[in-house]
Amino acid sequence: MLPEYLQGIARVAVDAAVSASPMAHRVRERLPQAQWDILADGEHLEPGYVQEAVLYLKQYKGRFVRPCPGTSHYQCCGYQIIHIGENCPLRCSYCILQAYFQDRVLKVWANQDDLWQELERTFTENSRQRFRMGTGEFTDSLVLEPLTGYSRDLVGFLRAYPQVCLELKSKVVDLSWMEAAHDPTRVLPAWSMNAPEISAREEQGQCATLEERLRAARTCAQAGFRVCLHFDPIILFPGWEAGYARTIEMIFDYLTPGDIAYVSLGSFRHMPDLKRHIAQNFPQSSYIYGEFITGLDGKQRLLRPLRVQQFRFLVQGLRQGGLDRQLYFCMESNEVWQAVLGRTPRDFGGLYRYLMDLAFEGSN
Amino acid sequence: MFENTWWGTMTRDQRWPVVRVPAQDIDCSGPWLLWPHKNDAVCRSLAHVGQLSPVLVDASGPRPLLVDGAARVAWLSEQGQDVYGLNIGSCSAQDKAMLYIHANIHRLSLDADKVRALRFFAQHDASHIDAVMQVLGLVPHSRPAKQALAWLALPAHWDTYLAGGALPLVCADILRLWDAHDLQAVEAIFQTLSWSRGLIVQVLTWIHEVHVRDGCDVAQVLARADVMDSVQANLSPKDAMARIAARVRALRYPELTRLEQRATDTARVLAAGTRWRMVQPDQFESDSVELAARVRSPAEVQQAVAELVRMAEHADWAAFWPGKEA
Ligand code: SF4
Repeated sequence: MLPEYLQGIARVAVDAAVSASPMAHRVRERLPQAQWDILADGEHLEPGYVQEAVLYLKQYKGRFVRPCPGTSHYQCCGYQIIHIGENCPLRCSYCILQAYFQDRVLKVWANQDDLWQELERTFTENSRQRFRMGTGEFTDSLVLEPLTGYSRDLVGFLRAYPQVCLELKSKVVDLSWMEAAHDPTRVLPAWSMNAPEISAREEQGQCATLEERLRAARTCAQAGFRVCLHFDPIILFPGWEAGYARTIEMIFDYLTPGDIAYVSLGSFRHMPDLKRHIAQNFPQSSYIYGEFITGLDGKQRLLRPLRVQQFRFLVQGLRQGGLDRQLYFCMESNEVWQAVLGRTPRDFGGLYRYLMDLAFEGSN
Repeated sequence: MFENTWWGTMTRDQRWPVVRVPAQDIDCSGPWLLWPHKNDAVCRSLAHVGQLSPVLVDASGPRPLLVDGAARVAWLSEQGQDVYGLNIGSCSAQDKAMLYIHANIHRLSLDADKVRALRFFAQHDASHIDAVMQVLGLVPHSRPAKQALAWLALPAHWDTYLAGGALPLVCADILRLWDAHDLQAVEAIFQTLSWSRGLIVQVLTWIHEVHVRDGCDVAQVLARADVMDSVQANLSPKDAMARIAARVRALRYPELTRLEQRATDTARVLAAGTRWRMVQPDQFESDSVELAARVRSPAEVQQAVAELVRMAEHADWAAFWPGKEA
């Protein structure tokens, strides 16, 4: 049974070149009622489709592997993105994809053979290099899993490459990929965390509840996986301290510090254009009217002392639960690192290396 | 009368008869005369060479109705002369308005003119709005088109603020979100003060954001910022606007304003009696402080350095680094 947020897909458009692909067969099997349209070479999907109503299985011709789009002046985690598709049927008010993509059609790159080839080339050309990779940048890693089984395929493919640690970042619960993983140290299931109020109000469209996410994380931990948690975006709202304290408490109800590979903290920040989209699509979301200033990278960021206040509060709670080494900031300045954690990435050889070590820490 | 409107082939092959009527006999009160600006150049030209191109009239009734050519008819009427016109015959007010727009499209540049035309059609037959927008050069669903449509939701008398330059069209993005009570509350700030386009947009944006953020109505936001005091105080318009903008901004950004104030006060203390100016350049995002001094000779360089050494010993520098507070 498909989750409700996928049941509204009434039409599947598929590029002719991938219409006989295993991905297309699988989707057809799982969406037998949907209208099935094959797009001839060079033919484009007509604009104006409602995002939930159409799934586009595309022959993707760009690069599948790319670096995380960090910006200058702030410390980037150096993660590599495996690009498997675009857009998401969930509705988080703060979702960057609203501003990234003009059309909101769900797209899946169905030419998986090309992806496997590119990955194989990347790993063989850099056979001594370790990779921390993930799929949750332009879509949620698991949201389409019941239809596509993409993450499961990826986990299976990466079994042959122990130099890769794959992070699956999500707001839903789908653990079907677990069976494909032979070495639990090479997959890092990850869930977004937020204050319960934010999760309830701003993460619309059938995202799993925080408890469901944490329960799934515990299942993974019990199976030998280490999990990642992402407090991103941290949002200021009246009563934010009590809200985030509650979530931190919940984390330790379900997990021990040893179950957790790392925890990222990122305060809500956005490209200037996103605010307009949020105001339009989510008029109740008043957090966009916080004290944002233009950061050194041109993005809107909460005024630094307010960010520091948020981070100090969360870090204190997480430290009390036994987490410290695993804490890092997503796209923050050295000033903030120092003020909150008392260290900067330079102190431990750079964030990229540090997170790589944390990611591979569980390996035998 | 017209075939295949709205508004396709209509008049392409029309051969309208020419009529000659005393200018004073023409009824110039039709609401389709959308942009009847007085035009001195037209008057001068008429005085110099007479009427060169015909006006448009509907001469099907007892009194000819002017459809286009108000400036010419007004001047010729003053002179007691006849007017040459093309008689387009009987047609609806909307058809007349459309002909008027086509006849004047070359001088259409102001947002207020576009809004006036759209309001005419919104009042007479809103089903034609899309077609009218195309003729006005407003691409449907484009930002200017949405703003023009949003403006129509405001009370009609607000069109005078647009026409008079008190408010730019872009303000419609915000104003459309306010109810009648909120709109009424804010009118006072541009009825008596003439703001620059950028500043009024900024101030309205801040007011709106506080209104949404704090869940209070616009009148309350204005009261919290003491806006009416500033409007009524015996200040120059420039000072009144600066005070309103600063107070509304302080409501919108209380913490930033507090830090800025503290940094400004500290800079004043540190640099008192010196030639140095100090600013925090990144809205406190970095730890940087910028110091600048103007010097005109080696001796002044020496003095500036000595001043800087004295300043460095001051205890108040910490105000520049709020992120490092305990
Ligand atoms: S789950 Fe992620 S990708 Fe999907 S809407 Fe929310 S933020 Fe966007």
